Amino acid sequence: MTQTARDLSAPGALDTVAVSGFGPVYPMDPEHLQRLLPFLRGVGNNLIPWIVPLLLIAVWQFSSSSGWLSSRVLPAPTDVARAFWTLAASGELWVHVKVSAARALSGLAIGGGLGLLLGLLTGSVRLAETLLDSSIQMVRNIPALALIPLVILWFGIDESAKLFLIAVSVFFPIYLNTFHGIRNVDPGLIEMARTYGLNRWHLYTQVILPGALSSILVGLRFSLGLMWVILIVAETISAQAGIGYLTMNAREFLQTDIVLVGILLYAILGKLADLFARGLEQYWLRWHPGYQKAH
Amino acid sequence: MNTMSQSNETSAKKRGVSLTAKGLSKRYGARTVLDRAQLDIQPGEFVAIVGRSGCGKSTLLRLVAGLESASAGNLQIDQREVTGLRENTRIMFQDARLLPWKRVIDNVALGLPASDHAAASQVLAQVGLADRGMEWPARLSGGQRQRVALARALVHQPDLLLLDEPLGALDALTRIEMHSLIENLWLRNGFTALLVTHDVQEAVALADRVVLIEDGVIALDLRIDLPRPRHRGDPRFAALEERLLDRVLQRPSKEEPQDPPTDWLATPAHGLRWAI
Repeated sequence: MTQTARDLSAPGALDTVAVSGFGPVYPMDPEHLQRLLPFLRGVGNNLIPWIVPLLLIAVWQFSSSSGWLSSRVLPAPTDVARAFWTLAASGELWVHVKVSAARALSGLAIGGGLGLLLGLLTGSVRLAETLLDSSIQMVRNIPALALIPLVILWFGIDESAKLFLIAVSVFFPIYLNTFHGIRNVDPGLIEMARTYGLNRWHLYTQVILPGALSSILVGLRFSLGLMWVILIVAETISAQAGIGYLTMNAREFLQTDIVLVGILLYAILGKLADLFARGLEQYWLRWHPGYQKAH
Repeated sequence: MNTMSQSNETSAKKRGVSLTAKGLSKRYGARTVLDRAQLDIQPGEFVAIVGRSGCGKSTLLRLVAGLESASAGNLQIDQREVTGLRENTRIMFQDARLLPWKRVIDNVALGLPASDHAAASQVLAQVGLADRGMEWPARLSGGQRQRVALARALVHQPDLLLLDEPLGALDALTRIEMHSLIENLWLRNGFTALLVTHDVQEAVALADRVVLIEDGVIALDLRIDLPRPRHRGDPRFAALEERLLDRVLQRPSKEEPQDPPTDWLATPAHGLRWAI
């Protein structure tokens, strides 16, 4: 009897303590604080990478406005921004960006498409590999830029020369990575799929291609990097429009600020292309632990 | 719902296939991996093949699966010669071999017509993973992956299930769970099962018969007459397990002198060297 009485009273006693003692004493709300701290830390971590670039720009701006740095060598960041704004407002900027992007992307579509097709072919068919692969590997060792004199002889200096140079240079990374991606698909998975009655088409679309995809995307990222480099060189040689034309023209008139705008545009376009490729990776390889965002 | 339970009943009635191997040999160059194996498996029987690694037990399984062809002898499933992959044979491999880019439910439905996805989720529920269907395989534990692989094999209602050391990479507790899962699904579906394992306890826990392969030769064919479900604590279980283990390790067993005739017949000459 006394046992039950004690049992019953015990929770009651605790309750009163909780209500009178701890209940109101939560002015800091530690739970809330605990949630806020990681958030603040996250914001801090995101800001840290920006400290160095911002510092550099500040130093640059300071040395320009104090006259240490001639505007012929390097105009102040504010001047570059103003030039950017003027070009953007007049619409001239967008014309050049559009021309350059179209060049780059059509070159990528032609060269990358061919690389993908040939890579799939040599990766999947032994005969195609023995027939084509060693020739392709031989041609691969010629730097695309070494072809410039020949390309000028063939195509002159018009659009097709630029397209050809870009297509040739993006072809190889995509070809090589597609080939190796297909060859590196786990043979155990292929054997499994065969014993589970998949026909050739389903084996290809459900096992081999998805297995090669991460490698193909690596090739795409390499190609995107090369694509801009070759575009810059090709446009610098000769062009009637495009970012290269813009900068070369500005150089003639000693407009260093516009030259810098052009350089900046190349950087932005390159970054955008890389973001796009990473977006593709994050979507297509979302099954892959290496591409999943940490939880 | 009604049709589902009906299809369950028909699949439960469906018996497994018989399997006969006569003088089955496999050679890679000069090396003989499997030497004139004789094996007779009844429909619906659960046979375990044990042996040390490299003894040829996996080769036997791959021959039965039609993944490789024999160098000599013949192999029949339901009185029909095995010439290649068979539609109603399914294999569970040591590694689960799930397609990492397909969600769990789509892995189970691999090779099924699109209309049969209901069957996939039904079988997934049978292996206890009904709520993990939309997960990526990379997020599952090793045991869960093997459950998915088991579901993927069973969704086709095979009449012959080949298990190639499917639990070899799992921890001991998960293995015991998987044993009862495999046993229950086998009892329910009635397929013929051929399990390759190096774990003698696993063989005794699951199989009607244990076949021991030594250096490519079938050295022992032992019937396990224990009632199911089997308990590891059972002294008869322990005795069988020890006897098999002694035989696998080629230790002179305490039991052997007591019943020499059965063992002597099945023992190859080199296994007898210290008895002679």
